[in-house]
Amino acid sequence: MKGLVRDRLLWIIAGLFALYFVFPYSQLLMEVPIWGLLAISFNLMFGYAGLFSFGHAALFAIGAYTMGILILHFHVNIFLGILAGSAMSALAAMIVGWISIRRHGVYFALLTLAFNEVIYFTIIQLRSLTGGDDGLRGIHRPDLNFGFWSISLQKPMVFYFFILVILGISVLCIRRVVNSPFGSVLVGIRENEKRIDSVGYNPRYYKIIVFTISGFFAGLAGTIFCVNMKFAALSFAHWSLGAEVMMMSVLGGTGSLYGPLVGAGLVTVMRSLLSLVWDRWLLILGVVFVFSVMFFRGGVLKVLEDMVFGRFQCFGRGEKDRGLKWKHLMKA
Amino acid sequence: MALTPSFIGVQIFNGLVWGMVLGLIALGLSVIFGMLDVVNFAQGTMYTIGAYCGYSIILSFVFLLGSGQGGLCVALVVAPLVVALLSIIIEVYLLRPIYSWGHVYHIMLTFGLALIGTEVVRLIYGSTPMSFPTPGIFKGVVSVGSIYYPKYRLFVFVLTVVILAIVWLFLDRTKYGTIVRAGIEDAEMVNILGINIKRLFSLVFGFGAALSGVAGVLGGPILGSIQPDIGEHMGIYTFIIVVMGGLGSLSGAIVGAILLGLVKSVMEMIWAPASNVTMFILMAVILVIRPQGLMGKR
Amino acid sequence: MKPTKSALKSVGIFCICLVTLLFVFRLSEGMAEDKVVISLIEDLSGAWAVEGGVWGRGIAMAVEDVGGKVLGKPVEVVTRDDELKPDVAVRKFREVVEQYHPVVVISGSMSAVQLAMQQVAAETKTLFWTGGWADDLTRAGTVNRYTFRWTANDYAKANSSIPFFIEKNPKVKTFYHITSDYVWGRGMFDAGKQVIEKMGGKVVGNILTPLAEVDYSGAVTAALSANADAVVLNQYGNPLVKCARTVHEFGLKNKSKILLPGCSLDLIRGIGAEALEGMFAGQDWYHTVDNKFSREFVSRYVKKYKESPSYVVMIAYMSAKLTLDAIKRTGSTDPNKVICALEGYKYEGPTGPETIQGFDHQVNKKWLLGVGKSPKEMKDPDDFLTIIGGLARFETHQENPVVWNLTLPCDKK
Repeated sequence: MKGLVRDRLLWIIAGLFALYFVFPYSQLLMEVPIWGLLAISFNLMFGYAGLFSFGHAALFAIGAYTMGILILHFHVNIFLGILAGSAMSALAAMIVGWISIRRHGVYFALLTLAFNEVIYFTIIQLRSLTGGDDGLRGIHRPDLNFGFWSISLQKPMVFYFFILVILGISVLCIRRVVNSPFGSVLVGIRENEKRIDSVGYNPRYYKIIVFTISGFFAGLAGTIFCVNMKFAALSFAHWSLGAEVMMMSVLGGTGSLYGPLVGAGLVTVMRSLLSLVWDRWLLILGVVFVFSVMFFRGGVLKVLEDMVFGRFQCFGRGEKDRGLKWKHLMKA
Repeated sequence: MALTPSFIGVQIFNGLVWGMVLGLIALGLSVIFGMLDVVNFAQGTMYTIGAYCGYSIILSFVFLLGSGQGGLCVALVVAPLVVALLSIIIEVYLLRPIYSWGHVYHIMLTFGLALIGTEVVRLIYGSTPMSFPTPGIFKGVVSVGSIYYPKYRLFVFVLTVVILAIVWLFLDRTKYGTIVRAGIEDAEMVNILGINIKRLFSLVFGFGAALSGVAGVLGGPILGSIQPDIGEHMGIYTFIIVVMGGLGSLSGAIVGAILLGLVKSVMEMIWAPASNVTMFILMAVILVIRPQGLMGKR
Repeated sequence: MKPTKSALKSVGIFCICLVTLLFVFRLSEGMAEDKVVISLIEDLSGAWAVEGGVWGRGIAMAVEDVGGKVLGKPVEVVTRDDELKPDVAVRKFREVVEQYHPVVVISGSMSAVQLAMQQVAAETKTLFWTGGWADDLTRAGTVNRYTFRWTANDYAKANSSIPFFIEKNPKVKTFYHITSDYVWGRGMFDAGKQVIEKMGGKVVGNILTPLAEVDYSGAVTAALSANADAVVLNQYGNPLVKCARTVHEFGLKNKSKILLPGCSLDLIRGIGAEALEGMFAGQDWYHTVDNKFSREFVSRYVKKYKESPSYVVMIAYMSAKLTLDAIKRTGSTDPNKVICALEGYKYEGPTGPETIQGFDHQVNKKWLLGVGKSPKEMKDPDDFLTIIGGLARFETHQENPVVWNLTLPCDKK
């Protein structure tokens, strides 16, 4: 129990939940865990394995649309919807991964961008299924149905707690992946792929797997977003969403598990509050981003932690340091 | 829509004209990548800045002299210079420190700069699309048989070919061109041989940016109007061109541009909504089958 | 190394201050003074940002009309940026409702955004005036009783502009369309095709252009080779500006008559007088329309903003004005009462006599057609069009069988 209390993840979830009672824009806050999960899934590939994917918007949208279509036409149980949506995205990620993994760096990124465009086009063309440009509307929010007992998710606070639980479980899984030997191999691939290969690991295999896992959670974020919004729109699949997710990860800090979550919160809140003040809020965001790329390579999270704790490791048994020290993380 | 030979011919020519304008931008992107190993996501924004600069110059000519005569000539020289200057400043202060950080950081930084650039243009000029005037002497159409074709587009085609020829001659025949080409092959070696590589990098970056600027001025009347995010639209296509032709290969940029123009014309005749996707799929196919591009060397 | 005591202390104090501040802020929002709020949610930063700025002006003028007060309470306008994204728009709509309880939300960007917002309007029981064009917004199955629309929908645009166009150009028999591959583009084409065929004409071809298209030479060349009597540009926004200018560039005007069923002053400025000359452009309203209402409005607007108003301003103005007037008439801000006051309301508007149709909440009014003047004829820099009249052709209740989900006290059995 004591160990549980010191677990960083629990504090984060509790903190986010407490924020609901103080933060004035509850609708905004509801989106933070969702974008956070998407950013974390992106960073699983980017920060840990060094793979820059431009296709996460498409994976997000696949999850959202799958959930939407299933609810609209089949009135499925929410858990089934989540699983189906995430599985579809994972499948898509696996296929794209299999093709794109052959190339590296910017070429890999462009291949994933091509995939994103294909998905975008497909969603538009399958008008009868996806609603095309108009999007999928009239999706209701299903109850949490455990068979013998069901909880209504209509109340914002209840739904928010549900989102947080999903976030918690997802991050737990990702943490498991990252802290396992598998995770270390990923970092190894990022640092020096040839070396990892010569030691006997097959980098292709690992890359495809991490892409699939990343895709799963991106799709999961999508399914939750669909249920939150009660619609699915074409804008979910636009590549600019992928660029935003990248910005969130970089701003928050690609070197840790929670960095992208911090980044997601920062970007989401900033864009809302700034837009109240100046129409050109994108300019401020751009400047902050450029600044962060040039001077805060570890992102906001690192800066905060450095300021307060002087070193990366602090409370809790959450992050086992398996050579994931800051110094090594941001080498190009 | 009858698929007569003249119709097909005109459509293909349309695609080529558009492709050539993109080709100029792609050439700039390729040169920058080839020599500096920087993936410049802001290449499209340089186009935007060039276009707006050109717009302002032509408009001030109209205002001061009553007609746009000569405005285009001046714009073709001044706008690229402005873009080049701006870019060199950015290169020196923002890009130089991060050269060793790798492609990913270059993409991120230039992406951020592209964002800032677009917003600054919006701030100065507003978001309204502005009509880009066609210079007086090129207004109107030539009629060849049953075909009408805008004079201006013919002019752009000819001019881009001329510019590309000049660039090729410069790179192939002059001393400075040889240095640039050597730098693309092996920048370190050039440095060891005593040439100030930092200055060379800046100049080449400026040159690449200037090409985008020229394209911006030329492309204005073709696209009809300019708006702050026009660069984003164009930028994505130039990446496709450069990848298809081969990052770092100059002839590749031209081949890629022609290919892109052809794909657009053909798709427009077959299934117009799919023209975008087809280009991306083609790029993906080339990337997988022949990663160095059609003309690149590995 | 454990975190230093002073570091922990400062973090702790910072957190407590932040939390207190947020809490106080949240409480204060709930105790907002009694006022009537109009909310504008528009695209202020995305691809359609050009239109976003002028909506606020229209609403401001409507607020001025009532002297800044209605039912004794001050009127406040709250503006939010929807970034042209449906999810952002929906979130801001919900936020604004939570914080301000506006009497009406006015919006007008892309159809996908409008359709998403429409749902929230019903969910939060807030009046919603949309400026979107998609037929679906007031069609049976999608429309809800909280939605109203002043601007004409695609059906009306096509059904009003094309017959009038044919009336003025009797020799035109064959039509070629350049259609934006988006909801309203296709909607205008479908409606247009029906009308053309009903009137004995023929559609010889249609080319779809993606919304992000930059070079229209391909589409225009296809139009040229079709040799049609008329070419219809089912486009809007930047695409319309580019398309129209390319049409001019290729000399298509010499071959065919050009019709732009849906246009606006902002776009016309972008197209330019030289290109627009001789083209037929349709719109909700134009600033040179000659009636008392328009003249007064235009002179006030020009005095305040030093430029001529486009019809987008008028949409915003009418949406706000009709709502405020309805509130005054019923003496209450209760949406149920206001809806009842609005349904079936007839008045003298900017295009002449107008009616808010009770069965689908679409305002029935003339859709105007204008012809581009030659640059020499222009009396001022915004005098692009000669308005030649217009028709009002909207769907009847039979054609659009709307059944309201919501029953109101004013429903007579």
